[in-house]
Formats: sequence, C-alpha cells, structure tokens
Amino acid sequence: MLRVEEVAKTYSGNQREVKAIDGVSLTVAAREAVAIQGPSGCGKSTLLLACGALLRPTGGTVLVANVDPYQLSANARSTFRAQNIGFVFQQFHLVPYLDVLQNILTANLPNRQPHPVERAEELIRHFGLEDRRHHVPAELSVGERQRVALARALFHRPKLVLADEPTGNLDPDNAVNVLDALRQYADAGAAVLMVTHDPHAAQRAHRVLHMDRGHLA
Amino acid sequence: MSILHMALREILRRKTTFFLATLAVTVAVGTMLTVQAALQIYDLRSDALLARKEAELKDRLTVLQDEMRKATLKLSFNLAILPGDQDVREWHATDTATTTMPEDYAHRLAGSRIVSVRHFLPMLAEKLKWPEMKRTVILVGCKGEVANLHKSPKAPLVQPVPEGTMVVGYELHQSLGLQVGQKVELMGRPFVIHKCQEERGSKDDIGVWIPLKDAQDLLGKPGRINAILALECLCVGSEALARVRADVAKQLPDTKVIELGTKVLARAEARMRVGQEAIEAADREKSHQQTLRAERQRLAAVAVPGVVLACGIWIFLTAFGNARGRSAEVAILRAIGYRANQVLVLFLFRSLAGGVAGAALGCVAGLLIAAQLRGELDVLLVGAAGLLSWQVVIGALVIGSLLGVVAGWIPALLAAQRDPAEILREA
Repeated sequence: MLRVEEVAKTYSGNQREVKAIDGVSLTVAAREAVAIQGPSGCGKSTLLLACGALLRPTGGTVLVANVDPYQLSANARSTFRAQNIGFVFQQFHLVPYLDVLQNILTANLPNRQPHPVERAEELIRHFGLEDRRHHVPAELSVGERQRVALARALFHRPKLVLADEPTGNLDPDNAVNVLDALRQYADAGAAVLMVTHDPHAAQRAHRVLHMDRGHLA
Repeated sequence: MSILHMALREILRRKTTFFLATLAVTVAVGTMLTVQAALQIYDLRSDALLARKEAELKDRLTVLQDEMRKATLKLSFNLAILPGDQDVREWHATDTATTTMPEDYAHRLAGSRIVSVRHFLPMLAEKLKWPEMKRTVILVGCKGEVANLHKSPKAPLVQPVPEGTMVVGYELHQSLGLQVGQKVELMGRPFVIHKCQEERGSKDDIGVWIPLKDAQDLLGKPGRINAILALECLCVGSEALARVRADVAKQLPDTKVIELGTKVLARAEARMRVGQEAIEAADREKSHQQTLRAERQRLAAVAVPGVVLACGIWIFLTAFGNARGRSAEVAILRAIGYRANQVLVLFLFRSLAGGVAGAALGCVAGLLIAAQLRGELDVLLVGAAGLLSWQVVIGALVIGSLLGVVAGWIPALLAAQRDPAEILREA
C-alpha cells in the first residue's frame, strides 16, 4: 500500500543544509500496522509527512496505492490525500469552532460521500462519542479529542493511515483505545504507519522499525 | 456542512475580531456618507445664506432708490434751463427769471435724443402781488411734463395743474385759511383750489401754481416761458453738468443750464455708492463662501481616503491576526485534502461578511448622522434632489464591502498558501 524508496529530505536555510532523512526505504502492506521508533529529531515526522503527500522529498520515490502523489498537481494531490490518506496527530488539530459531528464531517468537504452524516454518526458510535456529538473540542477530554481526530481520519475509509505520536498526550487507557482502533483498522485491510516514542505503543504494531539520524536501522 | 457553514461558525466563535473588522468598515462607510452629507448641507446653508443676503441687499437697494427718488422729488428738479440772456445773479436774487424764451423749447428738448437730462417741465414764473389776497406770491404757470418721445415712459415727478384750478403753497393756505375746493380769484380770473401743499421750507411755501396758459395770459406773455426745469440723470458720471450743458447747448444754443440742489445730488450719489458697496460686499461674501467650500472639499478629499485607508489597515491587521491564529486549522484542513482555494474562500467569506455587514451598518450610521446634521433644512435625506443620492449610498455600500474583501485578501491568501507540512512540523 505504501512503498518508500531511497527517500531523502534536506532542509535548506541560513546557508546551512540539514539532512532530515537520507535514503530511507520501507513498505507497509495492506492489513499491516508499522511503527517507527526513534529519538526526537531523527526524522520520523519528516518521513511521515513525506509519506502523506504533504512534504515533497528531495530524493527518492513515495508510492501510495501505486501512485506517486508528487507527480500530481497541487489540487490533484489534495484530492488524492482526501481519498487515500488519513492523518492522526499528537496535537489532534481539531477545528475549535466546530462540534464533534462537524469536525468529523470536515473530512467530507474535499471528498464528498453519499451519506456523510450517517457515516459520521457510525464513527461517533464506534468511538463512544454519542454524548459528545454537539460539544466543541474545548469541552472534550484529551482522550475524546483524539478519538474525534481518529474518527475524522477514518471518515472516508483511507487506504493509508499516518499517525504522528497518536498517544503522546493520552493517558494509558485512552492510549490503548486509540492503538486498538488503529490496529483494528489495519486488520480490516488498510495500511497504518505510526511514528512514536512510546515502546508500548510500538508493541501494538505488526512490525517495528527504528530510526536514527535520518536512517532506518 | 459547507465551507460557508464553517465560515459562519467561525465568525460566531470569534465574534470580537469579526466585530472589530465590521466596525472598521462601519467607520469608513459612515465617514464617507457623513462627509458627503455635511458638504451638501454646508452648500445648502451657504446658498440659503447668500439668497437671504441677496434678498436683503435687493430690499436695501430698493429702499435706497426710493430714498433717492424721494430726495429728488423734494427737490423737484435739479436743473434749470434758462434763457440765454438771463442774468444768473438776478435769477438767484429774485428766484425767478426776468427774461423769457419760446415754450416750444421744451418740446424741442423732449423730442431730441438727449440722455443726460429727463423730465422736462416748462414753466413761467414771476414774483407778484396777489391783488385779491394782498400777498406777495410766486406765480408759477406750468402744464406738466413734456413727454420724452425717445425713452421708455416714466412716472411724471409733477402732475399738471388741472384747468381752472390752482395749487397753493403752505404759508399761503395756512395764513389765508384756504381749503381744497374753495373758489378764489387771481388777477380777476376765478380758480378753484385743487391742492394745498405741505410745508417745504422754501420759496414754494408762497407759491401759486396755475395752468401755463392761464399764467401766460395773466402775465401777458403768450407762448413764452422763462425756465425749463429738468432732472439730471445720475448715471452719466462725475462730469455730469458739463455733459448736460453740452447736450442742451446742441439743442438750444441760446440757453444756459444751472444745477440746483447739489447737496441732494451728493446724498444721492453717496447712497448709490453705499448700494454699490453693498453689492460688492455680497460678492465678497459669495467668494468667501466658495473659498470655504473649496477648502472643505480639499480637506474631505484628504480626510475621507485617510479614514478609509486607516480602516483598511485596521481590517488587514485583524484579518492577519485571525489567519495567524488559525494556522494549525489551515494545516489540518490542507492535510485532509482541502484545496488552497477552499481555504481562501473560508477566510474571504469572513472578510466579505464583515464588509457587507459593516457597510450596511455604516450606511445606517451615516444616514442617522446626516439626518441629525440636516436639522430643519427642508431637503430629502436620500434621493435625486436629496442630501445623498442613491448612487452615493449604493456606492458606499459597494466600496465598504470591497474594503472588507480587499483588506482581508492578503492575509487570506497568505493563510491559504502556507505550507501545511511546515506548520505541522512546528506543532
């Protein structure tokens, strides 16, 4: 589902170049959850953004569902992301002025579904958010916020889910719930790539990769 | 849910910044309309003031002209055309001419195209004893003014004495107890008192006016007169007498012209000068009002764009702050597949809504202020002949809406074009 070949990313600035990732290759198949562990600044998030068609690599190739998103125009790449990739972040990044239902439905705007509200309600029930349907993020616990973010990521049934420290702000119980959800989603046929510090989180993945100074060990 | 729905939710969530942006547009549009209305009100008030002053001036000039006419009337005539051989010293001493000239001279003068003299009154006057009353009187035979055929008709200064009647001076009718309608005899000829004059304080108070023909018969001077009284036209300038003399000499070479009542003439001229100064003062006032208006327009031409620019900067800063505060939102929306132009619409809708709402409120505020400024002026607030035309009001609405969009455009564009990966990495 995800194939990364010799991907490199160098940041340029202030007459200095920093190699965030250098010649990284990996694959994540369908029905597979892969965790990448590594210290801060080793390039995990950069690799995740490159895989998510958000950060064009300076070298190598990224293929998602056999498509190189960086060969697409900006608008086509946006549509491609909307159809194929789901994102979960440590900071949740929910839209603060929308309630739970509306936050989940934001995923429908760039990629219209036939029955968006029914799908959103299904996810609300799945993640146990029925009582919070009309609450804005500020009125939710961090665990609930991450579940809303997860529901939004899974709204259009993406083939690839990318999770950046999805349990970084959660207590153990909520972390387990989120990790279980990601694992279940992978088991259902999708590919999940997660970067994390948390060894317990990594243990929930089918496979764990280690990254250091821009290289996969 | 749609982008517009999201934008509305965002506006409701961040009311303060939206209110500030809306207020900026309200101020800009309100200022535009208020200044426009104030200029219009100032114009109307200036016009009314000038019209009132012009009306006052017109009334004043009418009064002056009337006073001048009255002064001239009191004098009766200010020129005497005497026979050429008349001794002027004697004329001054006795108040009457001792020599005569043909009555036809008056007709010849009136028939000429002379412009410096008007109102010709031929007369035959002589100081004599009224035998029946045993009083010294100045007998004046007159037949009324001789019409000037080449000028527009004017009201005669002196009415002719009707045939068989006489007019008596103040001192005579007072001392002799004469009354209008009373029958008297003069040198054996019967007359009826036609009019008793009011006091004039001059030789006229011992005057007796009878028809010229009667006087010529009684004095044994048929077809003769000894003076033609006339009115010198004041329009001919400072060298009037010289010109009059030259004009009369052309028509009647064997006559001489004497000016009477120079004080009255001076007074009349002074009044004319006052009138002229009043006209000049009105012109100066008009010019002053025009200068003030031009200055106000210049000030408005600087102040209104200045206010609009300041409000635009204000909107820009609030929009910029809003966009910066929403960078994480922009990043996640872009990450989940929103296109840059969808994010742009999300931000621009906010600016447009603020612009339209602000422009509408600004129009209401501007109209309310204009209504207050209008006071008791009888003029419509909005309309073709009103303080503000519909075009101006609609123009202000459009400009206000555009101001919101234009000032919010750059922050919206910057937000839409920010690299989401950069924001997400920073987060």
